[in-house]
Amino acid sequence: MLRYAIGVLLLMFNSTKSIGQEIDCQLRASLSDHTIDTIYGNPYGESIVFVKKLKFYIHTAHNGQTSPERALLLSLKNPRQTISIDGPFQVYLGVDSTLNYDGIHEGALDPINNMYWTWQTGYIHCKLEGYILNQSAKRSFEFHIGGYSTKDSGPFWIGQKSDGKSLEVQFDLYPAIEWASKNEVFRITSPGKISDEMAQFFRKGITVL
Amino acid sequence: MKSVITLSFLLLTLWSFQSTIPYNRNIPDHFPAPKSERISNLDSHTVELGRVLFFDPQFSADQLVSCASCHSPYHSFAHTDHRLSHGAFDSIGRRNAPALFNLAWQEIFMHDGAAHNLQAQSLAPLTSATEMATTLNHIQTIMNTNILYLNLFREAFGTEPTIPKALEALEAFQLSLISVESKYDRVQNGIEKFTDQELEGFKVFEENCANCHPPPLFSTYEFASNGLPIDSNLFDLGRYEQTRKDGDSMQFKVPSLRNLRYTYPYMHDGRFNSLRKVLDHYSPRNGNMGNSPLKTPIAEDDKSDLIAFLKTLNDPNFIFNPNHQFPKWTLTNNAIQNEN
Repeated sequence: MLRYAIGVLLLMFNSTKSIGQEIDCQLRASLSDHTIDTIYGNPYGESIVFVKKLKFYIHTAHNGQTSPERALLLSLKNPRQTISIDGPFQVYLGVDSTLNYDGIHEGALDPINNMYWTWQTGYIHCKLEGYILNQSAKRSFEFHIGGYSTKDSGPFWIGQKSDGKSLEVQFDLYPAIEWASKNEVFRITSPGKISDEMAQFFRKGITVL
Repeated sequence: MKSVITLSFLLLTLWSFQSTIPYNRNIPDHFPAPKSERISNLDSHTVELGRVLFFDPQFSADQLVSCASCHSPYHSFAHTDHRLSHGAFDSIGRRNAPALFNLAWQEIFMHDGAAHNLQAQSLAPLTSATEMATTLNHIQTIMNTNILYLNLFREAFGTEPTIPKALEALEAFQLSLISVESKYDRVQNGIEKFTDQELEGFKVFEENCANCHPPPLFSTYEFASNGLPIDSNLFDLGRYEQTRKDGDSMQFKVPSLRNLRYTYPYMHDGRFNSLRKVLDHYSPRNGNMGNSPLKTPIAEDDKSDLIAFLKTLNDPNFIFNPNHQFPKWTLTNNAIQNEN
């Protein structure tokens, strides 16, 4: 009888727990004025930029509090996601530093999503891969920005939402690709100074509505 | 009311299925507090799941290599008599597999400190092309389709298998590997005494080795260069490969000196087969100290005394602890069931 009573109490406890509000999140990626709505890119100056992969974490926090459930993995292939969160919330690009340091988490943060480095521990905040075609050459690029050890690679605060019904993440890749192209940087796959520098251009290109 | 009672019963059934049994730890008084907070919450079911995962070769790309292939319990979870570790499809890595014990007192893992977290560390050997060469999707598929793992995950976590939970279980098993029952420990507890030679060796040790290998863990677990020249084939720059800082070149994590009897060959690339050769590196017989971190040579007689002391750090109870060995009943029965 005691067991049943405890069971009923547990059910009551679960039923009163707040589950937060469902928020519809949408990624809108672009290269300057050109919208990227497929896995391929659009004309960019005299070159053509093909974006094969854009995949990144957003994490949200309410009153400064976050949790693994408040992380979201957006990509060109899966540009729409929903999360549950209460009230006004802050939005960050990347994985919360405490969660990143803490270890491995479930859901969007499951390493099966291929957003965790294995040769060196730490979540990858953002992956951008593709190539640039111009008259003389085809240069592929691969940028994996993340890790837990340098603060300059993220996560970055990118906005605050107060209505809490929807979230549009606008990500203009032009600043990052322009910087990489000008500086002849086409591959960043580990944390460090150059990764930190590239991260600043991701930060420049991202806003939330 | 009837449905509430039914639901309550269902909940309690699940609750009792995922019963928590604290893992019994034995940490002596002369040890410092562990760095890992997770060790205080170890659960026997999670440790057992971690043990089965650790010994199961199904997860590697060729289904022949498990974690235990390079981290054998009988070798203090190192790969004795193998200079460099073997991996799937007969591949060979470029480092000597480190022994695994007392990980709860460590905050950074692997020879170059590539992993800051023990739960996440397992991802490196699982996916490395020269180790288990597997994918997380492959691991997930095996766990989802194998009744053994479905049951073990329910017992440990009350959930279906997931990669994060598997990593948590592997971490739990590795945290349970505690080596604290050497002769040195019994001397500290007043149960035994050193012989005269061991006592002389302890003095030599304190003068020459204890800075980097302080008792009772016998390591600072920090990074240091011990003056070894680089192997021109392996070209392993150690800690530098993670930090890209010039000062970290050729620095490697200081290993513990416990259980040396079981863990030869020594050094990050297994270049020395015997303790005598290790000591000859630190203090060459010709007296030319070269790049040695030691200031003064160690006399040959003192080296013998030092080795006698180092032998007191071996812990046969740890090596032959049945809780650390191949889970024969579980994995053998599972293999038979799968064949049928």
